[in-house]
Amino acid sequence: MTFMAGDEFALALSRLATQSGEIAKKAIYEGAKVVADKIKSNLEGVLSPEATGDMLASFGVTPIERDSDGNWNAKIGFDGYDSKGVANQLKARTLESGSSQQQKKPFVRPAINATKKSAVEKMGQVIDEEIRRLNL
Amino acid sequence: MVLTDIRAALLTVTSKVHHFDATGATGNYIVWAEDGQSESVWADGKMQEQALTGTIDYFTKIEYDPNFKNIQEALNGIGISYSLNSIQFEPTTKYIHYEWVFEIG
Repeated sequence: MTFMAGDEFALALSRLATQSGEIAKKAIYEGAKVVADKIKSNLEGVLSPEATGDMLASFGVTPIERDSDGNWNAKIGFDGYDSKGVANQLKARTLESGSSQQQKKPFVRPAINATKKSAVEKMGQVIDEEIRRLNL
Repeated sequence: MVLTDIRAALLTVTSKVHHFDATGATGNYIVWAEDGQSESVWADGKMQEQALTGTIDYFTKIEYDPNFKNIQEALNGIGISYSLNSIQFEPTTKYIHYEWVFEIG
């Protein structure tokens, strides 16, 4: 165990406060990647061989931003329209929940269930590493 | 609790209950399916407990269908954990689609 002198510790804490936003962004990026990778692999598994690839290409993670409550967030989802003008979000929704004309093939919720724990662990690891780099 | 308890509960609401596939179903009907695992407990190299997740979908053309409440009461009756995940309207078929997510341990 290392005991730091008062000024040294205060400086390290100050550095942590200054860099907390960047650390949060790094952690969220790594956590979101774990979840997004699983969603993507699940999606590849449920798409039909005739799929155009439009929906898969529209899948991604938004830039990480701070909301009005001061929390850092990223959203994982689908964007835009396919070549036939159908919203990719709508197609994803129908695939996930099904309809009276299409059997459901859930790929988002099972991915979240499967990765929730590992994503949180990954984020914790990133935060620990970054704090260690600040000599705290 | 076992998966067939869900089927038995849903059959108290309607006889039109399908598991996984409801191809060709007409009228108002339920289709349910298990689709994964949420939690598990391992000890001594063996899985000791496993929580399964799945969905229950009710397709109806009746506005304010009383079976919405009846399904939830049937699920409450067997003590299952569930939540209403979505309600969607299909403009082409005029079906109202209720979807619940369940979890059994």
